[in-house]
Amino acid sequence: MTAASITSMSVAEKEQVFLALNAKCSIALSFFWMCLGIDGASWLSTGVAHWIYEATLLCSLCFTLYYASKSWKFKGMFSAKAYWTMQFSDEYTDYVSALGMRLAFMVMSVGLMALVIIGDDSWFIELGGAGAQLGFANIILSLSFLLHGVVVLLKLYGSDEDE
Amino acid sequence: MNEELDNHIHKLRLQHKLSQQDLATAIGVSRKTISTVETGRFTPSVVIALKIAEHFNVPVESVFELKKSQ
Repeated sequence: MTAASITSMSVAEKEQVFLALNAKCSIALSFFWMCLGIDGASWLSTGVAHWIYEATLLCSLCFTLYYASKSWKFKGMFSAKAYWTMQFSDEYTDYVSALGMRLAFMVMSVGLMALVIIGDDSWFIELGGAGAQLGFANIILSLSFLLHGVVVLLKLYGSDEDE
Repeated sequence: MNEELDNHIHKLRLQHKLSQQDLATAIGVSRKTISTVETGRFTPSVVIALKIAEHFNVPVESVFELKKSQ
């Protein structure tokens, strides 16, 4: 996607493509956080599982940087408020953005509340080892990013009745 | 008893030989906004309702109406 092709789009189209890129970036980031969350698990030390883990970590990081660089091209193409706060002028895009963030917030808040409540319990630390709390926090982050990305993409590119 | 928002955008578009993209460009929204409003999956703001009515040169009540459903 070149700067010229972005410029030729209407503001509503730019906002929609920008949100879709952010959603893809969210999904890539969710795999990255998931990898960090399960880092140190004993079953990851075996050959094949270790290679899959390493490949997923590397791919998620590459895809995150790729989509982040693509969405960076939209800076200055529409209002700074929409770019930084995800509050768009196109109503449907704004509705989808708000829905994605609302669901991600719910997962994050419920997950963190659970972590605060059970994080100090001995059975929880025994189950997850020394990094149990950090690992659980990474998994919560991963789920919230994944939910945001999937919901946004489904709402933007899901069932559509054209023309 | 619930009330649902019904609309006649599809009928008006056909009468005026407009695609969803044409209407979206004319009122400054995305085609997805028109598509989801038309199929009743998204309830638009008063601003969009008025813009659509103004574009077709009809009162807003001719585009949108409340339908009672049980």
